[in-house]
Amino acid sequence: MIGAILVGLLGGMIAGLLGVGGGVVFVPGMVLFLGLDQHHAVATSLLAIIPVAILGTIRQDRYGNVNRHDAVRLGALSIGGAAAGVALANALPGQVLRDLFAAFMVFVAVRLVRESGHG
Amino acid sequence: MVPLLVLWLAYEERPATGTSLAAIIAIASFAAGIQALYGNVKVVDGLLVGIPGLAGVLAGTWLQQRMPQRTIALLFAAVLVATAVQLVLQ
Repeated sequence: MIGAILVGLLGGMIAGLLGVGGGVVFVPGMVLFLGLDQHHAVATSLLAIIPVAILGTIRQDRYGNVNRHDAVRLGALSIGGAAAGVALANALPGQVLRDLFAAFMVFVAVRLVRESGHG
Repeated sequence: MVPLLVLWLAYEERPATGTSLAAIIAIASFAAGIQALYGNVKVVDGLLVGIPGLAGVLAGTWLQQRMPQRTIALLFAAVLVATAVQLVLQ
């Protein structure tokens, strides 16, 4: 119970700081503290993300940091992308997919560090 | 989505994270709905984490407004690398 609350607090904090859903903390946290298997943790973390994203968006909107037009376009594109991702996941072996995705994430991280604004 | 907005659409970090969160509402709702149809969503467990998450996101957004945008980018890159390492080791 206390573990779940801490996972929620930390995941929410990361969501607010970085504009991600919080799943990066929620999923392993749910496996560890609530005894869910990976499959149910991924599904259940999506439910937890909804209120967190709503409140985070309301706060960010107040600071003038939400571009509604782009948010709608991103949302629609991502829902399409998710369908393509499922097809790809079924076509490639799991470890190959994970390694490719990991390499891509490191590439993006390097570019972010090199090209981000210095404000 | 944050890197996409920063690297392709030349967003600054703060608007990128705010806009990304807004898009996540749609994506998570859609995906949670599909997962619920398959019976994979544990509602009580989701609330147990999601409700404290509300306090976390308030603190996170508050803190973020007081942070240089460069720091946000560095933190984001660190989380990406950590996730990549976790994926490879899995």
